Amino acid sequence: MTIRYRLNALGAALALGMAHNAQAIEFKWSGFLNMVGARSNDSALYLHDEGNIDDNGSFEESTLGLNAIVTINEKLSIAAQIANAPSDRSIDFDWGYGTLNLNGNWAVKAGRVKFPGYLVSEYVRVGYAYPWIRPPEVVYSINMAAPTMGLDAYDGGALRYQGFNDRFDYSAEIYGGGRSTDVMDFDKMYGLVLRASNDIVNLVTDVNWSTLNNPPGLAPATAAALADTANQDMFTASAGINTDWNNLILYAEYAYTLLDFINAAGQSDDVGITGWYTTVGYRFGNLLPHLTYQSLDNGNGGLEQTSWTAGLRYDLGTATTLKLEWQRIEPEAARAGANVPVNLQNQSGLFANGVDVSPSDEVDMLSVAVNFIF
Amino acid sequence: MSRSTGMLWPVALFGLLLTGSVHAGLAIITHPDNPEPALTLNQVKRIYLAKARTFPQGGTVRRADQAPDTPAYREFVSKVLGLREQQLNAYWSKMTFTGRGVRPDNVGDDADVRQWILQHRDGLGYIDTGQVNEQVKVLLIVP
Repeated sequence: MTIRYRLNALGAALALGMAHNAQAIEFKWSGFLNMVGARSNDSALYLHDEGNIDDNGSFEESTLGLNAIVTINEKLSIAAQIANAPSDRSIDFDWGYGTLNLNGNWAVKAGRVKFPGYLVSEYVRVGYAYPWIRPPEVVYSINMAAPTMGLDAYDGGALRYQGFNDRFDYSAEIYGGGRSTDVMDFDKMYGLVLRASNDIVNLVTDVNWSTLNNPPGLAPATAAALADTANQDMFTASAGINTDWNNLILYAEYAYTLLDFINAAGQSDDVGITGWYTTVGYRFGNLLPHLTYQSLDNGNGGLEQTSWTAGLRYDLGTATTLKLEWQRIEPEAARAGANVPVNLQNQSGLFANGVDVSPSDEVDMLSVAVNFIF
Repeated sequence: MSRSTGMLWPVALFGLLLTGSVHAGLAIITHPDNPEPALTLNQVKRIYLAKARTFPQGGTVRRADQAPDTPAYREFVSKVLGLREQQLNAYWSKMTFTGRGVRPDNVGDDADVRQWILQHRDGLGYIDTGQVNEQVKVLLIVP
């Protein structure tokens, strides 16, 4: 359901039934709801601060979001979204920015902008928009062991060029800004995103340079664990492809992050973090079965993880979808003496660090979700 | 088939002939005062998917959609947009929840769109070709 309000500058003319060219300000609001339940067969916590999934089960990935778009005219629009972060019941300002379309090709935007670099990063919380219950975590997890590094949005501005030819819509976007969160600061963040798409295929590639820092007020123990990555640079690059052709669905994405840190000898060092996945699915009417393989590898002998996911998406009507997934996760801890930041030394795959329980070599996880848009 | 049902066939056939225009195609329409002379299929598609925000000649454009249960809507989605309805819904969820664009207004059926066009000089809509009258300007016929 959508409600629109119109504020017509020439309302009187409209009342008289006259055709007019009045500039109308349009306000439109929408929302989404993800109800997610997940349970594994292991007591080690999976996706700490995101889902907190273990053998007790978890509903913490459930998310509610509300979105408003105000179109002032064909050149200027303002959009914003509030949503609760996974495992957090409080509603936060997710993103909100103004867009000025300079002409048909060029646009600038400013405000809090969702990180644009990956295939689904701009709508990562909107479960209805993709086949999975959660976007593949080896790329999209906010865990520091995954290449996203918690890069969720930036406060700043962007310049976008977009065009099209007979075969593709394409765009190039440069952006710059920073972001401060409760657990991590991203200083001096800037990057470039290139996209091309048509009815069949969607391609994206990006590069990003950021400076990581510890936010003020971090708990002393946490700050100590993150001291070796404080005020350090990171570089990320990714490439992704998504197709939806003749009922065949394909997603493939590769993301790499090179993170600087101070090693145990007190010297500047770096670690490469690689995450990639492939999803293949086939749509039978309203039913979409799909299969995903994921791989995560922290360099320098750091942690690793692979997993297989078999999933089903069933569309109920036009705004609701029911999803079911079974995932087998094979995590590996960092090897003894691995040359990686302290925060990643005690972790096994994307299972929590700082917890006494280590996961088994194979962990099975079952997830169920209902996604609504309204 | 019973005899009584069989006798209904001529009536049904006559009705089908009367409403045959339902399947004759779609007319992409605007207000008669709109200076835009014509649109291509790709231009209509780009405007409806919020990839273009103006008419090719530069004027503001406001889009009217039909209700999802109308034949014209289903025909428009498949023939003009070249999508399945699930693909279109997923497309709009991506556009909306990234703040990039909004779905066109759901105005109603053919008659509602025709009426809406009367009130919007910058309007763009689609109706069954059999519903076209002198009060609208046809920019494209999609057979």
